[in-house]
Amino acid sequence: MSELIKKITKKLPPGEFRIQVRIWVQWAFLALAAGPLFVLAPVVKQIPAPWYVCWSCPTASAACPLGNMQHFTASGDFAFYTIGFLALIGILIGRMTCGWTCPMGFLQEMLYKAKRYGSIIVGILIFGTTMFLAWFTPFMGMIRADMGESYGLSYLLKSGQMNMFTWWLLGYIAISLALSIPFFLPSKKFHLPNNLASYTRWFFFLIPFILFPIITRFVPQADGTMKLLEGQVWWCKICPVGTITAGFPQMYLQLLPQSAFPLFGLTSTAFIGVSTYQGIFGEARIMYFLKWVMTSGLLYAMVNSVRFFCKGICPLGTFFTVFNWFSSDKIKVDQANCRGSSCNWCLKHCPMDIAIYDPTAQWHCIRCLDCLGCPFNVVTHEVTPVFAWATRKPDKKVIPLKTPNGPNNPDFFQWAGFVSYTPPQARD
Amino acid sequence: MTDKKNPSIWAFISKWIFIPLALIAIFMIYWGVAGPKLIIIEPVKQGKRAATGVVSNLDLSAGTLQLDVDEAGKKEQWKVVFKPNVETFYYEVVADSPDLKERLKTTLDKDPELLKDGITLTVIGPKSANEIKANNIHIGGAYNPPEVQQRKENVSTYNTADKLCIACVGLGDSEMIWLWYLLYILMGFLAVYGIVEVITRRRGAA
Repeated sequence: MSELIKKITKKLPPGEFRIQVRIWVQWAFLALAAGPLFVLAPVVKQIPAPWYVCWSCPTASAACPLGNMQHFTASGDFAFYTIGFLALIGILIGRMTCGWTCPMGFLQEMLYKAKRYGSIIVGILIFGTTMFLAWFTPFMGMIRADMGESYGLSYLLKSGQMNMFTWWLLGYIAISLALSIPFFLPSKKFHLPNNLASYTRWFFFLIPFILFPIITRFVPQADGTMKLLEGQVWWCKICPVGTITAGFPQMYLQLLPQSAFPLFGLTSTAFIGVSTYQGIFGEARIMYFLKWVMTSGLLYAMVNSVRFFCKGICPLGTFFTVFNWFSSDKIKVDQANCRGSSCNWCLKHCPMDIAIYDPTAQWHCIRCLDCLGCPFNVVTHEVTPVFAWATRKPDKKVIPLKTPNGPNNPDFFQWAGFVSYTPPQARD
Repeated sequence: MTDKKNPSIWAFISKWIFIPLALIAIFMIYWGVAGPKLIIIEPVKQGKRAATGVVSNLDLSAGTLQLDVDEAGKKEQWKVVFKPNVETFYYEVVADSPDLKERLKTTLDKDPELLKDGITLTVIGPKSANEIKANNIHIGGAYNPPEVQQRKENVSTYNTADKLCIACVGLGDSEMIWLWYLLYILMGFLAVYGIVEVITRRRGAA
């Protein structure tokens, strides 16, 4: 085994070896978060995960941190345990959890790297799932059996309403094609500007995630008074991760008999979703349709722009972002010797599509450490002296510029984007 | 972001502030887990396709019952029509942990004894006038399952996803108007972004 590891490490330069390690760590966390390690759910589901998988996912092993926070916000409580736990992780490692553990981030990286194949596979999945939903559920909310025996196209077929069946079938085929065809057409990769991404991410964090659960608690009564009730978990209602990891897997699982699940002996924990949600076909109506359309659009963006969701939408990433500046581990750039935009090696290799020498882009940094492969060795990973014993010093020396840049170290306000800062310019 | 040769107050803060913050976070975790207060989730008794109330006038052979709903003093009566094989959910105490109950599924023709006068249940199905055609029945209530009546911040609360089941898949009773509000606000955000971009670029050009 050690021979094998030696061979691998010899063949791969240090930067690439780090990338390989990260991929294996991501696979491991995928297995834990939404894979075969769901058997650990009775223990792990007591913890709000620092990654993003819906806790209603059939194989979710941990509780969704955003679902937790929504739950408590809607109840009018402060989620001390969840926020404290996530803050502790953010304080220690910043957004590193996004880069190393989050299965959604991994999925996006894989989709982007798979290029044409990834796009076609997603297109086929979207077409198939849309037709599946059309067949078994009301989906658009207009085909519904009265007594809950069947819904959708299957109901029209069974009830002999052939004329209506034909029209609805054609309609659903058209919708499925409309949603999936963009994935089969040639597409151009695009870049989400950093500042626009900051705007949209804070929008989703502040409005549907924080504000809506609070204001939906105030319910006007018939007598003109206002009553405080349970708010609505609005982020969960539009959450594309919920649709991808729980919404449509739960729909597919409806085809299996209930008796299939107790076999695992975990119906009340790991399979809580499956055991609880039997009989939900009737619930997939117009809002589900809208949610599915939004998710399809988002998948298209994910295929064509690297980590689009992490960069422009994810409320969990936004939460961790706050800790990036003072977390105990940091990515540091030797600004005096950085070649800046004349090099852009880091930008070309960054899964978040950022140039690490630009301090305002550090909001987006997920500590994947890919940029440590900088050919001029100006990028280093520094941890606080308290944890310095756990790291090793960089084994390469900086390749200096002939005429180094002047002292140009950004402070907090420049980092936060409140004060302008000029990153290293093209030199040498 | 600052290098070692040019230390500043910001460098010092960014290097060491994690310690007090980490201590605060640890205290928050402790406070969350140890919080002793009970919370009772207020049940939602009336939805567009659901009603929770007390059963009376049960007639199993005819497949009807009367559901008396008391929503904060506002009383309503619904005639519920159901088929013999209607999906029925009920709770049973988990053998290993008496404090927890799990939700099980059956059909009424298999376990007719589950349904009787005086019990509380939730009926989900299309409503018309004063009648509900039951797609499924939740004995004990669907929206206030016993699992969510936990201590505030007790970690067991995280073990249930029941409360979000409608949110993740169905959205059956959602108010769509909020989605439009969301889109309007998003457009506002993008407009602000556009304006800021134009202004900052002009400044840059000047």
